[in-house]
Amino acid sequence: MKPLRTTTYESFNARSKRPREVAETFVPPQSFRTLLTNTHTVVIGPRGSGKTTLLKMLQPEALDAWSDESRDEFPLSAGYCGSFVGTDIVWREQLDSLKANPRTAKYADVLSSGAFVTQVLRSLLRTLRYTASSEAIIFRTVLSRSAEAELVRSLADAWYATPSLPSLAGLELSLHQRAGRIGQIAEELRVGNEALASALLEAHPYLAIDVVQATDFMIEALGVLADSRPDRWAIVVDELELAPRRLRSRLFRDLRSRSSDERILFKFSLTPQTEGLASDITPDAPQLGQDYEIVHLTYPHKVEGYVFSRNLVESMLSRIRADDWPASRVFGRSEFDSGRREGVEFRAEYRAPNGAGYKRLTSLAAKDRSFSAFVQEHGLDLERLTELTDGRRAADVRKARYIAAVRDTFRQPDGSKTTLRTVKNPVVYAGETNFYALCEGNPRLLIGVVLSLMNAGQLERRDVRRNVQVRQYFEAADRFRNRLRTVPFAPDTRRPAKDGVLSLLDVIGAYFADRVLRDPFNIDPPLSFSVGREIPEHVHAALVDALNLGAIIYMREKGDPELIDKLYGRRFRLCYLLAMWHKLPLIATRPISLSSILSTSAVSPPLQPVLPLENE
Amino acid sequence: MNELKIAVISDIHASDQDGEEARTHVRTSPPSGQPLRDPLRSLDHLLDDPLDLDEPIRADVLLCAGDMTNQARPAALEHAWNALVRFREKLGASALVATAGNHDLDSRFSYTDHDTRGVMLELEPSFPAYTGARIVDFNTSNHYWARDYAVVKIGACRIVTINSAAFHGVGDQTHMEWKHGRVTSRTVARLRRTLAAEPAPALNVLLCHHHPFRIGDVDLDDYSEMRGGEELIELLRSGNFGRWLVIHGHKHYARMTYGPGGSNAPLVLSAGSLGADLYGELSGRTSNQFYLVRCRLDAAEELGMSLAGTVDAWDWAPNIGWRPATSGLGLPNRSGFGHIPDIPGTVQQIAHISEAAPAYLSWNEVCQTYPKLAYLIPEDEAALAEALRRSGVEVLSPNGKILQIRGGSK
Repeated sequence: MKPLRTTTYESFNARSKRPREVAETFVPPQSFRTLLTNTHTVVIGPRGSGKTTLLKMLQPEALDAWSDESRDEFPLSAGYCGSFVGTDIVWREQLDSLKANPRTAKYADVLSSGAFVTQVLRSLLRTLRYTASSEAIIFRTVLSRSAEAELVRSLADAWYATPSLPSLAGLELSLHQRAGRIGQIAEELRVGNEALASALLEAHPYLAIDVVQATDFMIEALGVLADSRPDRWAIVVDELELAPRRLRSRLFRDLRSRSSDERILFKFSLTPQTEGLASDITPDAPQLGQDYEIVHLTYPHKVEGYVFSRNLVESMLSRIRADDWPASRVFGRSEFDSGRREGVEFRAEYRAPNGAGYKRLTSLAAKDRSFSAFVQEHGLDLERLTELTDGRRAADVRKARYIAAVRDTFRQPDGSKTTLRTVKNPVVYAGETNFYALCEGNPRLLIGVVLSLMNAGQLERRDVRRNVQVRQYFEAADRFRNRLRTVPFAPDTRRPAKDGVLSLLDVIGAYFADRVLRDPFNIDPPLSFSVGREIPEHVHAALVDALNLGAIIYMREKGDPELIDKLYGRRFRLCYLLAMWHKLPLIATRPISLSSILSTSAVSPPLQPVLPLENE
Repeated sequence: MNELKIAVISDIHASDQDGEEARTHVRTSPPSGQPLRDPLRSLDHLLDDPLDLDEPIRADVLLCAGDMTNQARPAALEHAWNALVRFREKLGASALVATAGNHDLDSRFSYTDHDTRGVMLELEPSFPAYTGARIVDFNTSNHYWARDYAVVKIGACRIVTINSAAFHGVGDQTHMEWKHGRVTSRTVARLRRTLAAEPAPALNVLLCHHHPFRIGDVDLDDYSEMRGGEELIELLRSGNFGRWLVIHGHKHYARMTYGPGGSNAPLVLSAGSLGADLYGELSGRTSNQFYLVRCRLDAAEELGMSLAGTVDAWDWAPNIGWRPATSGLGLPNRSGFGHIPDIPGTVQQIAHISEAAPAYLSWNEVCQTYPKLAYLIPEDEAALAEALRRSGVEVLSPNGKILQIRGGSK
């Protein structure tokens, strides 16, 4: 296998990467298979969860360059030719400013639609140019130069374009110039030159092009002129949540009206919560499972993300290390997954005097009276846990072990002056699967940690020291917390929180920590929360930001909606990186209502509903 | 030797200061957890695995055009020099050849007592050239510091490194010597004698920090060019010592042009900065870059040219890292040099072959017919595209690079 190519890992954000760079390091999650099927698909995940990477991999240039061993398991050539449309943030800001002004708002939709269609057509041409090049393999398009000229003339006619040369590159460049002209029209409007702008609008019929019809025409023309070509195309739109709302709704409705047996598919990515989607989900709206499929890139239950995380980490390790040690040996065992050990493994874990579980429970029992009481009440004999035949009580032991792990790590012995102690690098968070849980299956985080360990020379060792692992996680947590501090949150209209949305999340974390660490031992403390309708709007908005950044995770259960607009009635947990920062076990237990957390929190007086300020 | 590959780094501006005042992306200690977000550190990875080339980047010689550090900070100077020594090995280059920049010399005596070059003299291996041959390098160093220039030979190439900051720290503040470069008549005369002592090689490279003549289209208030630069260029353009490629830094502004003179005019590569935080007028006009100059000795001989080659450029951006230069700032990913076209005649030639072509001709196809056109500097290529348009030949040239030419035209 090729040695680790850090240049391609260096930019963690796939947005700036070219298709072959994405392919260089791509490790497919299980959901990649769903994404490759000939159905409309929506990919949902917070920032950094790998949405852009996944969508960029749908391009023929990326698929051609992808040389991973697992490649043959995927039906690449049986599918569609993906054309990737990135989001133009600058353009969106320009449209937002038009929308904000009542005088210019009416033009915003037509301009945004025109800009979007232009972007899609440019992207289709870029993809087609690649497939028509000598480098293309899977979706190779064979076009003679005269057929190319003929195709360009037809497309130019249908798309109201005037390329300076009858070539695909010429047409693409003319669409690039068109995008610039649309920007000029928006600028004319913004500075108040309405007469000129409306004249420009009339003079530019391309603003009314329908994206599906325009794409369909291209496929039709290709069918006539090219000797070999892809028959099915996908319009792949990244970060659809950033698109203007009306455009987003229309595209979403298109999932219904354009059934998937046609030759145009849509592949979208969205953040976990996208404003306005609930109103798009009406009875005549596209139906999940019927009109489209959803791919989730977050894992409410941490185990679901382990396979992908392990594949990604081991793919990097195999390029860095000379040996073929699996990640489980490099990173070691994880205490927060010890509950999965049964039979022989269970007995080894809890055997006196050296079983890790035995040592943990007896250590805690020696310093925590409430835990001793729990042991007695449940009739557990810590010296003879291996003889437990009762499955329920064995389950209790496993569950108690998770709480015991953090209590034993962070609590002072009963009778000490303080309840908790400071632990610099709590190795209770080390271990292979803890690493995966802490990263939540987020490739950006996983890659960042492996690269940092590599640069620190740690991956040259046989195994990575447990305190070194944990130091990496805390550094990652600090960076993430700094990012969250920059997200505005104003619990009080007069006083924005100094730490932004992090201040709200810290209230939740501190509450859980009190229940787990300070209260008497409880085998089932709350470690997730539900959002009731009594939660004020500004707190709800902050939670939405936290969700879309991956700071809280939607605990979606069977029957829960896959797409959510409002968070009310839903259950969430803190991401495990924040949980670790708050000294919590990496598990999600029963929920408690967020309003209970906020009302009992001594550190959060500002987190009350915002009341109108009197006399101001 | 068919080709001489020269890797070019300039204006690293490494600093051991925290905060923004250092105005650099290169720190001796990068922020924790972000070891790769530093253009100097991440260059290791680019050299091993450039994204647009199938092979690792390898070169015959590595040149550094000065300003390794910022404000003469000793620890950062050593950090940058060590990195250059490491890159030389990674590139498989026979030699590293550098020159001093105004930021490398302690002209304000911040760290030494009236010894502007004291820290540089203590660098190990010795500055400005490292070939691995200790005694040769020691002699080169002595020559450089004593006579303000030194000569290093790599195969058929002669490299002259000039210290254009030699007089920094000399004179009182009223002279403000540190504000500009200088090469004296005596230095030029000495150099002339050195060059005349042996036959002209296939290629000459002159490495200096300051620009030997003003670059007029950026920072118009800047007068930091080399005093005496005209006399130096006069020496190079004489044709008595072969054709010259001049590589300089200092301006942080990437550009390729021909110097004054007739058919022997030197080619001048103004190298962009590798590590400085580009601000003000420069921020929208150039980028942090690294270069690989390929001097095609075989093509020059075959085509009857005195100089022919290409320059590959890579851009660095924070949080993105090194990428083939497509930003449109600085030099493009691939450009040529060596052929100075007769534009009207070239337009006629291209119009002639395009007439017979169906639909369009790609630029590669044009260059197959007229191979010298592969060696145009970017501004000549842009001028040719414009002239073709004016004569009625449609050209597709995004960012000034000619891509396609309409067929059946004229």
